[in-house]
Amino acid sequence: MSVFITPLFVVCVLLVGTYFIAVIEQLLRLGLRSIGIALTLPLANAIRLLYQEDLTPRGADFFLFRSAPFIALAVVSLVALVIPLGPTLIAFNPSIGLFYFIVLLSPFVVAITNAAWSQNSKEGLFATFRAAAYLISYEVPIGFAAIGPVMATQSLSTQRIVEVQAGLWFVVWQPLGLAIYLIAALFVSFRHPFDSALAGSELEGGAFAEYSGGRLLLFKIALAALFLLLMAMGVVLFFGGWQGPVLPGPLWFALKTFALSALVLWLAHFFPRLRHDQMLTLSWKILLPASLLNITLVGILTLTIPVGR
Amino acid sequence: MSSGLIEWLIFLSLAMIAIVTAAGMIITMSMYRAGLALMASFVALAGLFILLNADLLAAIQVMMNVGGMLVMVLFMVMMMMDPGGEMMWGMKRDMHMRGPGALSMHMPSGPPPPEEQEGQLDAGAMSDMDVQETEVGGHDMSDMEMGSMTPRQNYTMMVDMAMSTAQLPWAIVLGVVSALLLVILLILTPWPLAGIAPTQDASRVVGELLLSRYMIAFEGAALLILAGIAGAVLLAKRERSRVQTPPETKQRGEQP
Repeated sequence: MSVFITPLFVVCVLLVGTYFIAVIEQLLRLGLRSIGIALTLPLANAIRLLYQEDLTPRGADFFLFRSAPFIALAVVSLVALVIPLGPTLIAFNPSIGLFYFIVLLSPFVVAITNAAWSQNSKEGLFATFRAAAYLISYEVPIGFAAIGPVMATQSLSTQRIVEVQAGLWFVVWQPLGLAIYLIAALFVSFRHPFDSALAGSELEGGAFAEYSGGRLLLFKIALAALFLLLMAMGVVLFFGGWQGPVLPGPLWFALKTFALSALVLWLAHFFPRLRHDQMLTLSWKILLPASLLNITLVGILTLTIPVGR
Repeated sequence: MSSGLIEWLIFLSLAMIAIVTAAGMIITMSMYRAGLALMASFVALAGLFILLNADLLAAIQVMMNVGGMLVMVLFMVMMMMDPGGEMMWGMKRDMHMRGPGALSMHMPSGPPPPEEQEGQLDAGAMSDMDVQETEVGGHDMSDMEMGSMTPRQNYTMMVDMAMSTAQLPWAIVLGVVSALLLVILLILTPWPLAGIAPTQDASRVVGELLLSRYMIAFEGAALLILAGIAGAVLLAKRERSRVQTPPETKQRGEQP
């Protein structure tokens, strides 16, 4: 029976977490006083989108246009399986959990490029190129940033990475790795400073320009869920996952994840949107050398300070 | 349901997906869809690897192929004419070509019609042409705008547009024979590792093998990739230096 209950549980947790990400976004926009509006506005937006007509533009690649949101949602739910919520609360615990997570992020970009290409418009074509350029530019920094905790743990299993951080969180001696990871995470999830593929002001929504109704809602859920999962993986890698005193593990994990999400979203507010060539420059000329430096530092520290081995 | 039956069902569905999407890659006219179909086929193969308890191989398969196919699709969209297959579909629709997708645009059968001299298109030749046109690939050209084409022109056009070569039947026969040979080999070979349990931590074993037994090949591949990167950078730099940048004063003068 667990074959059916586990996916249901994962999807429910994912939807609730996505709702809270939307609430945090609204709170950052409206201020802490209007918490009532922030709590209801995401639901109202969802209901409004469900009432909207689901249009398919003329000349669209019908099959790709229709299937793209479902690919995005499927990828997000598959990625969610390897996040450990508690000491035994993990849906799928392979020995290569972290590698599985990073590998399955790239089909999400395929969903975005499909959505952009299939709508048969110039804005969509530009968004296709930009989204594909993101895939090439984020894969290396996020992989190299995640290698730091793996080197310290000597395992790719997400559960093992959390267990090793019982004494000391990795963020204490790998702050550079955390910074690279968070910037790359904003890349992956098409968030504000790096959202030129979905830019409302220059491409009229880019990849989502022609989407409306339920399919747009699915895409928005998938995007918010992807951001949530990346922040959750950041907590797993650098902030000790579900480890914490007094409170139960899953509660600690949720608190850390939402705190990190709020912090990252708040910090992202201070930056203007980067042009696509600036993004590529940032990725290849700054993040890649920095992540190599981080790997060297972590290697030296791992050999000199025996942490949790 | 027993777990063996579920495994069989998953295997059959994954194998079907792999085969159907591979066929779709050949049949579709849109290059974008073809690239995606190939990607889906490889992802289904990764599912088969997971079924064999080889999850590291499956993850590597997804990582290499999804990114690689996406870049390939991107290059096709940038470089090729008609990457969405819209023009080809229009031709197929207008000329009433039969057959699934790109397979309808095959090479015309039979010898090429003789080259016509000017002024020799009398009534007899015209009726000849009609007969030949129905023979050539079986395409009904009667309601086309290009109906005034001579058989020779029609023949060369079909050769230009064909999505397969004249050797298609032989290729099919060869493919079927080699598939049969592979199946026979599969049945006759004794598989010595079939009874052994899979390794639990494949990444560790693979890493140790790469840095001990296969170290020279591993480092050699790294050197090759480095040489490739250096060569690509060199070529790109040389291309850029040839392009002359316009003087800045002129640009500034054009601004209102």
